[in-house]
Order: sequence, then C-alpha cells, then structure tokens
Amino acid sequence: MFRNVSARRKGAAFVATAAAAVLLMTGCSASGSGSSGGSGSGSASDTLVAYTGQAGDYQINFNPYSPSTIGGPGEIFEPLFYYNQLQSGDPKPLLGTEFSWNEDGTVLSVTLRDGVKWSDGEDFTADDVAFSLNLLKENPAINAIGFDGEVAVVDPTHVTITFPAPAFVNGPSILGRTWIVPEHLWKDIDPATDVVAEPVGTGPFVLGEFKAQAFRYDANPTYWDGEPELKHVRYVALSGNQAGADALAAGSIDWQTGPVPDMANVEKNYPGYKAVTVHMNQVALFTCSNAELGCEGPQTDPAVRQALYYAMDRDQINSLAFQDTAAEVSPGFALPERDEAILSDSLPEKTAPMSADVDKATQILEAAGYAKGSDGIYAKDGVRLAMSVRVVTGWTDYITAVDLLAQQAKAVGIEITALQSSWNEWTEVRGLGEYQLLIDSVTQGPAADPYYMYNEFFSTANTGPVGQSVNPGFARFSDPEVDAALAALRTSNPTDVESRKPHYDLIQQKIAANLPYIPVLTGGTTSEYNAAKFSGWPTEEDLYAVPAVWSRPDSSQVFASLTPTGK
Amino acid sequence: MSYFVRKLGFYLVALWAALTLNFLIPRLMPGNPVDVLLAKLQQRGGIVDAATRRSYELLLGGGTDDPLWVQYGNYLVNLAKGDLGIAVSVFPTPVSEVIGQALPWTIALVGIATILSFILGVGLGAIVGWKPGTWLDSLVPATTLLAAVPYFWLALILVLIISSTLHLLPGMGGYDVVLSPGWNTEFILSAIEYGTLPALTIVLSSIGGWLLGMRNMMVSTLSEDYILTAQAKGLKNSRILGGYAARNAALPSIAGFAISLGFVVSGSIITEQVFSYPGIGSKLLQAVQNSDYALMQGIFLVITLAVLGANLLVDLLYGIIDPRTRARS
Amino acid sequence: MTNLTPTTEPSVADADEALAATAREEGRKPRAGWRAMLPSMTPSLVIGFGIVAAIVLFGLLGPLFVQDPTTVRNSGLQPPGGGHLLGTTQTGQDVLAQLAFATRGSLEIGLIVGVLATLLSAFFGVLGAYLGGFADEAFSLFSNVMLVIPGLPLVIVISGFVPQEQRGLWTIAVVLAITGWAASARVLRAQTLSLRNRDYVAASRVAGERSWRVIAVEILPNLLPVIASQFVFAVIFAILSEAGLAFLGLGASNSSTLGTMLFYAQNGFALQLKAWWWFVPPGLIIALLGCGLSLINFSIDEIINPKLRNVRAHAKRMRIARKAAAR
Repeated sequence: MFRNVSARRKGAAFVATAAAAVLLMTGCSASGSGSSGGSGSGSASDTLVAYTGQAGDYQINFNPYSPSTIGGPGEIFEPLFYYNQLQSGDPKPLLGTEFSWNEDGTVLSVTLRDGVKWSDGEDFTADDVAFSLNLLKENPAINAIGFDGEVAVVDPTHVTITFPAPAFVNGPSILGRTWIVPEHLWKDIDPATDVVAEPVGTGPFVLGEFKAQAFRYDANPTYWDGEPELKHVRYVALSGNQAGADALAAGSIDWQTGPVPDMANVEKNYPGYKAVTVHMNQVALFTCSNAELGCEGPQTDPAVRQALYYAMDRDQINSLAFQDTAAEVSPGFALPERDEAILSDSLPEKTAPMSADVDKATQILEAAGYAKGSDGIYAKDGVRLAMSVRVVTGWTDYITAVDLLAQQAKAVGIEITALQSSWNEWTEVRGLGEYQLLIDSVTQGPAADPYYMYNEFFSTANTGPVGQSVNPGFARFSDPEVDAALAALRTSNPTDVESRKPHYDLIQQKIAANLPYIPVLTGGTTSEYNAAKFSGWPTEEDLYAVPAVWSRPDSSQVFASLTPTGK
Repeated sequence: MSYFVRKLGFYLVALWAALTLNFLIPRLMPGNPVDVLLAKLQQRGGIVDAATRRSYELLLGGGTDDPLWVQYGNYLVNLAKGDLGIAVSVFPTPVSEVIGQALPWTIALVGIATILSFILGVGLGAIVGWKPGTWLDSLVPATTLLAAVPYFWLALILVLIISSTLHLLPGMGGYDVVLSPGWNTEFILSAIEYGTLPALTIVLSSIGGWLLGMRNMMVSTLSEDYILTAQAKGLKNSRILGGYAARNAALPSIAGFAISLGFVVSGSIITEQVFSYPGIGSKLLQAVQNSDYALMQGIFLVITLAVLGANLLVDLLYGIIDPRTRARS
Repeated sequence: MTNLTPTTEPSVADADEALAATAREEGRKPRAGWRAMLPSMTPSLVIGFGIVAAIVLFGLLGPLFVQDPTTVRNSGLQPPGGGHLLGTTQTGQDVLAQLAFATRGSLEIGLIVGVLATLLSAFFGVLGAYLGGFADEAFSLFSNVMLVIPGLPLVIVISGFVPQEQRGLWTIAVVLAITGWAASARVLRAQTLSLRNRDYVAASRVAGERSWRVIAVEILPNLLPVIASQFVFAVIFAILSEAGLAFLGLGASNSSTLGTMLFYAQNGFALQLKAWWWFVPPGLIIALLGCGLSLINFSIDEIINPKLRNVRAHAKRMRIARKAAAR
C-alpha cells in the first residue's frame, strides 16, 4: 500500500482516500437506512412493538414455569381465570368459567370452558388441567406456588381439587397463576429444564418467529374468544431505560414500562403516545427491626422508626426523586384506593403525612428517653442515632431519595448515611438481615387482596434469624397476634369481607405501631404506549389489567383488547 | 528451540493461574443466583414467598454443599471436557450456547473496528512522521483529544446527533429485527448499517494511539543510517517510505496490534451497552449482575485464551524476528 | 475497559536504541546527562502544563468557593445563569459545585492509581528484568496473569471485602491499579533488559555492588522518563476507566467523581432533555485533562527518544523556508 504512494502529494492523497473511505462507508449505509431512523422499526400498522427492559439477547425459553422464561404465560399458556391485582372483584373467566369453594375451604370445584382447542388442533379437556396441576406437585423445582392439593377429574369440563387444609388464599395462584399446558405434548418432557422452543397453548397468541434480538407473537386464529384484532406483537431487546427512552422518541417501540425524560408531558413530547401510572408497590425504608432475631442498631427501637416516619417530607421526595409519579402511602400498608374497604379506621392517620412533622418526631424521640447531643443528633445511653441505609449503586431514584431522607432526618436529629453497594451484595445483605436500613419496595400478591403482602412480608413463617437468608421477610418482623390474624384469614372465604375486616384491622394497627418497614410513598409504575396506533389500552379510569408491559399474564389481557387504528 | 519450549511452558502455567483466578473470583462475589433471580422477579410484579424460594433453590441447585476443592476439581475436569456448564441467568441454556451466540457479533464489530483503526492510525502516523511540519501535524493533538474523551460520552453524543437528530444511521441494536439472521445480502447489509456507528466511535477513540506511536517510530527510523544510504542512492521518496522506513517503524505497532486484538473480546462492554449491541460484553455484564458463575467463568475463559494467546504470539514472533530476545533471557 | 490502546509500546520500545544512541554519541554513560532529562519548553508542554494546572487548581481550590453540591432545591434543571453559573441538575443541585468536587474525586483516583500502578509495574518490571532467569520468567508470568484478570467482577469482589464505611474512591482505585499495571511492567521490563547489559551496569555488578544499589543508582535514574510517561498514562487510564465503570453503574460509590456525575446526568436523561450544561462539562474536563497530560507526555517522549526533537527543528526549518519562499 505504502509502496505505491509517492512523496508528499500522494501522502495527502492517501489521507483523502482514507477519509473518503470512511465517508463512503457511512454515506453508503446512510442511503440504505432511509427513514428507519433510530432502531429497527419498519413495523406494520398491525404489529405492536413491545420493550420489556430485556437487556441483551433473548435466549429461547417459552417454558412458563422457568424462571428465565421470555414469554408464554398469558399470551400462549393461559391460566383458568385472570386475577387483576389492581381491582378487587370476581376474576375474569378464561379456561375456567366458574369456580366454588366448599364451606371450610378444602375443596375447590372448577367448571371448564367447553370447545377450546390447543393451537395444534387437539381438544383441551379437564385432563390437561389435572395434568398441569399434578406436574407442579411431582416437580418441586417448578412448584413456586406450593401447590399441595389432590386433583380429581369429574367429567371433561369439571375438576375438583381437594386440599389437606383450608386453602382459600391459594385460590388466586392456583386459578390465576398456574399455566395450563397440553398433556399430549408435555407428558414426555422435563418441565424443569425444557425450553419449549415450539410452545403450543390455548392463548390468544402463538409464537410466530424467534430471533435472538426479537421474537414475534401472531394472533391465534382458533382462539376460543375469536382471533385477536392485534395481529402481531414483537418483543425487542435493548440495553436499558436510556435505550428505551430513545427508542420511544424514535417511535420504534409502541409499549414500554419505565421512566422517560419529563414524565409529566409524555403526550406533548411524544406525539401519539400516552402514559399511564399505577401505584402498586410501597417504597419503604426496610429496617432490620427485631433485636430478638439478631438485629443490631438504633433502628431496632420502634420510637426511632416512628420518628423517621414523621421526619419525611414526602412531597419533596416525590417531586425530586420520583418525578411526581408516586402516591400517598398508608402506614398500615393497605393500598389506599384498592383496599379502601378494609382500610383500618383506627390508624393514627389513613395515609402518611406528605410533609415533615419535625415537632412530632422530636417529641417521640424525647418521650422514648433520647436527648439531643451537642452535635445536634439525639442519643440514648451513649448511643447516637446514626444509621446507614443500603442502596444499590446506580439506582439513581433511590439514591436521590436517600440523600433527601438524610437531609430530612438531620432536621429531627437523626443521622442517616447512604451506603451504596453492588446489586449482588445488596441482595445478599437484604436476605441475611445484615443491614440497618435499606430502601426497597414492598410487593403485592397474585390477587387484589393485601393478605398476600402481609403474609409474605410480615409473617413469622417467611422470616428467620439474622444470618439466615430469607425472602421476603427481610425486616425480621414477628408478632404472634399478626400470625394468628393471618391464620384466621386463611380459613375464611375472601368474598366474606365483613368477617375478615377485624383481622385486617389488627394487622394494620400492629404494623403502623411497629413500622418494621417505614413507608415512604406508594411507588408509581409508569408505562408509555402508542395510543395513535392502537386503541383499547388500560387507562387510569379503566384499569382492566396491570398496564405494565412486563407483567404476566396482564400483558396478554392488554394485547387481546387492543385494536389497530390503521395508522 | 528451548526458548520456545520454555515460553510455552510458562504460558501454560499462566493459563492455569488465570483459570484458577477465574474460578475463585466469581465465588468470592457476594450474593447468589437464587436471591438475585427472586429479586428480579419481585421487581417485575412476580409473586415471591417461601415456596418460590424453595422451588428456585431446587431448580438452580442453589449453593452446592461440596467443599471448594471438590468444586475446583470438577471445574478443571469439566473445562478439559469442554463442558462450561449451565448459565443460571438464562436457565437452562448451556454457557457455550450463550457465548457462541454473542461472540461472532463482538468479534465482527470490535475486530473490524480495531483493524480499521490500526490501518488508518498507522498509515496516517507514517505520513505524519515522514513529513513533519505540515498541516498533518495537527492530527496528533486532535486524535489525542479524541482518545482522552470518555468513550461512552463521545458515543452518546454521536448517537444523539447522528442517530436521534439527523436519523442518518441506526444507533441501537445489531440488525433490523424485521429481518432474519442468515447469510443473505439484506441481512448482512443491515448488520453493516447497524454496526457503522459503533465501529466509527471505536475507531475515533482509538486511532490516536496508533497514530502517535507510528509517528514516533517513523521519526526515529528516518534518522537511521540505512535511510540516509537509501536517500544518498537517490531512491524515490515513495520507495524509501514504503520499502524502508514504514516497514521497520511498523514493527512495534504490529506487536501492539496483536495484543489489542486479544483485548477485542473484553474491551467491548461499554460499546455494547451504549448501542444495545448483542455481543459478549453485554453477556458479561449480565453474568456479573446475576451472580451467574458458570457464564462468568465461560466468558473469562474466552478472554483469557484470547489475551494470553495474543501475548504468546507476540513473544514467539519476537523470538523469531529479533534473535537478541532469545539471547537475553 | 476503555479504548485506551496500548500505545505505550511503540513509543517506548524503540527507546533503548535511542538511549544507546545517546550513549554512543555522547561517549559516556547516559546517566550523566541530567540536563537531557529535563523537558525543554515546547509549546505542547506549556499548553499541557497550563491545562493540567488549571484543572488541578480547580479541583483543589474549587470546592472551597462553590456552594454545597448536595443541597437540593425544588427548582430543577435550570440552564446556566442566575445564581448558578453552570445551571442545576434535575434535583436542583448546583452543577458547578458538583463539578468542583467531582474533579477533585477524579484527580484523587488518578493520583492513587498512578502511584500504585507505577510502583507495581516498576517493582515487577525492573526487578524481574534485572535479576533475569527464573525470577524474570516468574514475574512476567505474573504480569501476564494480571493482564487477563477481568476488572468488572473484581470491582464487586474487592468492594465486598472492604468494610462499608471505608468504601469509596479507594476501592475503585485499588481495582484499577491491580488491573492496570501489567502493561507498563512489560514496557519497563524491556527497558531494563537493555540497560542491564550496558557496560557501566555490568561494571558495577562486577565491582560487587549490591543489587538494590545497582538498581537504585545505575538503572532507575535512566528509567525515570519512561516511568514518568507510564505514570501519566496510568493517570489517564484511571480517570477514563473510572468513568467507564461508572457508566455501567459500578463507579466509585459514596463519593463524587466525574464518572459518577456523568452517570447521574445520563440517568437523569440530561441528553434527551437537552440539559447540555449537566452532561457536557464533566466529559469536557476529562477530555481536557487527558489531552493536557498527553501533551506533557509528548515532551517526555522527546526525552526518551531524542530523535523526536528533530521533528520540531525540522518543522521550524520548513516554516522559515516557506516564509522565505512567500517573500
């Protein structure tokens, strides 16, 4: 190459050639790209492009029972009923049409839909339902719902399930989170390790094609409720929130759940798009609260937790850390809107104060025997009220919230320092209870009933001593009265609201008095969707399903309800 | 001969040491895959209780009870058999499959970008060194500035301008997802289109090093006696530049090039993150974030083999080209 | 981690010949040429020093004069002007104040890594090459192993072992030093190998000088320019790598660096919101610092390789010639 270049003029020529080569390279491909812009859009008007936050490539896995499944629950494999976590009321019939419990909750009878076909043409029968449930029992590795009943097939459209103990509360996970699979195909596979590359289900969609960067669902022409209007759904893989926001701006995705710049003005900034925010999970300061189980630090004193509760300026946290997407939170951890019917009247306040109450916080501390030191921080028996909050490096909204909390706590004489750690380490200390405070959120159960959240986060059964990894009783809360109330809730039919109310009342009071998780706000989950291209989205007025693209099986409910507008 | 044998021996020991470290580092990391997966599930609205954790432990084999040395033995034996295990983060996909899927993308993108950057840098460096005092000299500080800019910062700004604002090139992904991967013109053109901007950013930020190194070597070489001799003989300048000066001056750059090819595999994490590119770097990040030991080990293995291999190659080449190296040691 | 290529090799690999040439020309051992060790005042050195000094001063003194960088205000994302010279972040924090503290943090990391990596590489590179034989092979084996250690998980591993309260800059700096010294040890080894066989070194050894004395008195002084250049590279490497790690969310925790500042800006959608005053300054400071340091390195290169000085002389001649021709 050099040999043919002569002297100085040619030297310049070489540079020019090199530059031209670069130009050529970019120019050539630019002309090829045309209008496709940001990332591979080019989607037809009847194809919805969804981004679930999947980073990197997809590894094929349509086994609904696999923890790393990339799809299938809902769209391809249906449950018997659809439970909406956001709205109490009867579940929507899918493969089942109705169900009933016997008096003491030990026998569940389910009527199945007639005339349903698997997408390979075989008939769906009660045997498939029995097979699917028994699959769980025979394979403990996939029995994430702890199913322990006996299934009996009465006739092709009826099954009964008999439990060893009252199992009302297991209903939603059995009826709503058990994916019915075809016996004729699944009897020969290992449900724990098979990736089900060619899924056959009864759902509204079938797998169209799979590629590492994207896969596509096609409408199921033989769906029992009629072929969906939405013909194709494509799931794409990007690298995170930033990429998601960019893709949204480029118009190359139609539905994503995650933050975007300037969340309040989605409609203005992204013409044709709308946003919907739902409030499901309570952001809280988790505390290692129980000294008897080995927790150490000032936060084991309920008075300190109470003081922190009143020290928070929740309005400020909401606007600066969460872009005003969060909502009020109840100290008893029932969701103020969804659980209104059982929201306790005997709480000090139904929702936590949105602004700081410094007087009240200091009062609580002084009543508990704390005295302010010369450094402005309260102390008792020589122990300063100084605590650390664990937060994951890189979770900027939580880090900002903790920074704000630190400033607000300082105003009432409590010292809080943020300790950032890697996600791996944070998960470990959270499970082991080797922390003082950490910021995280409390999550809900399979149905619109706070029982599940109380049982998961507040029962003795789900926690353990510090040093033993537990999930999710991270705060080490343990109270026999709460356990008893939870046990009583297990034996009463969820439809019997009146008899359950006193138990919920007690739980909320205990929690509000103890505050093992100090509520900050109810976190908002914001989704952005293309309202110009499709109609029928869930809105804040009509939340027929959780409008988060990654929420299964809710996404299938949304897909089945959408109609392309033809734009 | 013994020089080569001994080099090879020491590289084998280095390989063993690196493999041992690759075994230890993931195990020293806090956290375990079961809890990380559960935490992810919780974030995604999944239901987690004691039963869920039990089933995950059963499924993923959460925490084996074997003592560390037994695990180490199994690791070496499996490695020898070519069995890299199962990637827990994408259970039950084998690690080899995950790597096999991601590696070609990285090698193609970063490999081609490195080669381009090397050719352009060395070529320009030769010219700058050959004729100092021209406007070309300003290339040196200009490319140095580019090399000193944080890579992701430069890349993000370029994405904003070229991709988001001007819509000239796609700034996300490895190919148009409408197409099917395969050896057809349409797909390959699409892959090239999607790879252009990432490659451009890599070239921009790495060309400075090659240019500067080559220029310095060129300047040194030009005052060598044999160049003077060649000029005295009245050879054409082009002949001297190509046949005498550049050839000799490029030697160290070529050694550097071999080593940087070894780093192609590991050096792409940020590029792939910025451009949502489907390569090995994003897999490493995934493995680290999910405490996926087997996947981490597998990727480390690839990196180790690439880097050590490149180094060995350079050492051996030097042994052949420059006999003094052998004599010295 | 970053795209800082192993450029050091080419520019230095030739230096042994250069030094030998110096020795030949001057007819004595190069150590005596102290004056040759001092960089001559070139425009690039002046500019480089100017930039670096300005940034160091900003990092050292800036934090004393700016507002509290952590104070949040309810007025977020204000463009420059008013009470905030460089505007505010999403949470209403003063960008200039953050920039000052972040610059200080990044400089600290650069300095720590520079010193640690230089010490490590000098130890393993120089000592190994000087002792030769098995020790040399063992040391270069060790450097080769260190070269392939992946930095990304190591950050998590090492910070896991540091008590929470003491984490911060140091953790990341130690990781970067551990993963960053091996390449320059190779360079120093090559240099030492050539020095080791010089007559004056051989003479000292024959005279019965102890090893440490030979290294300290005869070898190290001649390596100084190379070590200085490696130090400068280590500093650039450290600052860029920290920024890269921060971009992946694994930057220095609990402390403020230019990398974490960029991460926050990026996560706060500064680019998409066109908040250039938040996103551009940290990157620009890194770029300027890196550029300034590189300019300084050009001058060091000229000491290592005196032939490079010819370039300037040549350029000067060319300019004069061109002027003359124009007249």
